[in-house]
Amino acid sequence: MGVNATRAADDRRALISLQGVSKEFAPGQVVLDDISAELPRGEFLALIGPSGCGKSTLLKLIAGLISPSAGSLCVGGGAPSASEGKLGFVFQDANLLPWLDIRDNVALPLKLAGLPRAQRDERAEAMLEMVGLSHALGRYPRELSGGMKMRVSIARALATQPEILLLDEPFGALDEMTRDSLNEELLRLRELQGWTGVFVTHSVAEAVFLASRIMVLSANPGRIHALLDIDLPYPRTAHTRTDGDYHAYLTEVTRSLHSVGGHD
Amino acid sequence: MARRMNGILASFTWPLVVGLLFLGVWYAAVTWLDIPEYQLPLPHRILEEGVKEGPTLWSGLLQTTYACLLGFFTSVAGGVVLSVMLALSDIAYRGIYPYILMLKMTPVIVLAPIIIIWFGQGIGSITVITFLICFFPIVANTTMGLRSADRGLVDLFRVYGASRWQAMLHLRIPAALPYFFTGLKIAAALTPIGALYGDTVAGMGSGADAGLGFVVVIFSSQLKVPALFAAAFTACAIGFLFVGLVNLLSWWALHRWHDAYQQEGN
Ligand SMILES: Nc1ncnc2c1ncn2[C@@H]1O[C@H](COP(=O)(O)OP(=O)(O)O)[C@@H](O)[C@H]1O
Ligand SMILES: [Mg+2]
Repeated sequence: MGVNATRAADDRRALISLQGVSKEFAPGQVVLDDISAELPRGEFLALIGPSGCGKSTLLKLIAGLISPSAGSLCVGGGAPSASEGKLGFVFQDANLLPWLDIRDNVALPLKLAGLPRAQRDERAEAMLEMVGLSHALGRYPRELSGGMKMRVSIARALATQPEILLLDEPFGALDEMTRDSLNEELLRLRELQGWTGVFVTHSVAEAVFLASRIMVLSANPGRIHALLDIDLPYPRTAHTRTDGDYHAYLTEVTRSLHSVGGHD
Repeated sequence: MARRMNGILASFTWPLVVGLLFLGVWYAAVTWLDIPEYQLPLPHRILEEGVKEGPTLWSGLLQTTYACLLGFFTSVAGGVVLSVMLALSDIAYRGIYPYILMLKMTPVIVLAPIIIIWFGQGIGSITVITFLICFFPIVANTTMGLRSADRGLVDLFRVYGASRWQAMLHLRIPAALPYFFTGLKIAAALTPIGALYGDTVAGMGSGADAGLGFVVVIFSSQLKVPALFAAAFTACAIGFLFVGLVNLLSWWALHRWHDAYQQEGN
């Protein structure tokens, strides 16, 4: 009973919490200004906004790669810098090590965490099976298409079984069909593993399709312009894209984005 | 398979054609222009004298190869260790690198007498001279490689809490390999130059101790011009050996993943 009560309290508390977070790289050059948000467990938040408004910076702050100039962040109950192991990061343009084959690329976070070889391989192979790349274990990144590289990158980020997944424009460089199918695959993985996610995208359609909430940022300085709930039920599938509510959300988010000057 | 054989044959055909043409021009020029042997000996005379001086050339080749190996491997080992140190500490890099540059800017020719005072005539000084000539391209290239790991990959390692050593071992060193091999190829080509030059200033006179550089000095003082040409071709073999081995090693280390070895239609 005690355990359940703790779990329930945990669920209500935010997994990621940002309080008045600001970031300036040089004095006076404010990139992010006073960002506050609470992400409960299970949230899938999309960050969208004009180029240069600080979306990648916000992800890096959550990952603990950089620290805020003002305000505070709490990730998984602690400081972001102590969140390794709880957190997976899918970088822009896949970011694979060219000298490792696919299996070793996926196993890299496990290797850095000190897992023995046999366990690493087993886990990496399971992850690759999950993203449909079992047949490519021994191949090298240069032999893969853009979509396959991205799947490897996602498998790597999920290999440590993180509570939190951060994705920085993961599918930005892919054609629309590949992107749509990877979007559906990502939701399937989320259904399976139940992580909490934050992702950056330039695509309103992608944001609405994936996210449970969308944060629209304005630029110079980056501020929260709007926080919109997307109340489309999960699991979302290809059919969701023809849904009337889905299109209403598309319109709403596009309008919001126009008013911050962020339409493409 | 057949196509591959054809490709190999084709890659030998043109050098062979050019080589034969060159020999033809050589014979023609010497005959028609009446060039004396002490200026340009005929190819078959070079071969004859080369065979006659065979034992001297052979022991010179062995001795010089030995000096090359010593100089090359000490410079690779020293260069790599220093590069890793410079990559691990920014202070070390900024403090030490200018002095390495300074050493590089000092011509080995003016250092040679000092080196001989310190290490004496013989293999010691020759190794040090070879080392100095090979050292810089290895350090310069390896250091650049170790310091130029992709930003995104550096972030990746930080997200997963990699230690400085883990990042060195699993990111910076593999990322530096192509640069390292570039330095190694330059060093391999410079190695015989270092050893032969070292030989001419610090070589020892007699029998099996005489390296190829020293043999050249003797031949030239005796005006054995065809033998001198034979010595030049022998020295060329050392260069081929070193550059060939390094190319092979580079292929072995990089062909699986590096774009320079990308096969088409793969
Ligand atoms: N490490 C850094 N040093 C200095 N300025 C930076 C750094 N990272 C990002 N910036 C600046 O911060 C702003 C926001 O960058 P970024 O977060 O990458 O934007 P976005 O991902 O929304 O396109 C840009 O103006 C960029 O030049
Ligand atoms: Mg960005």
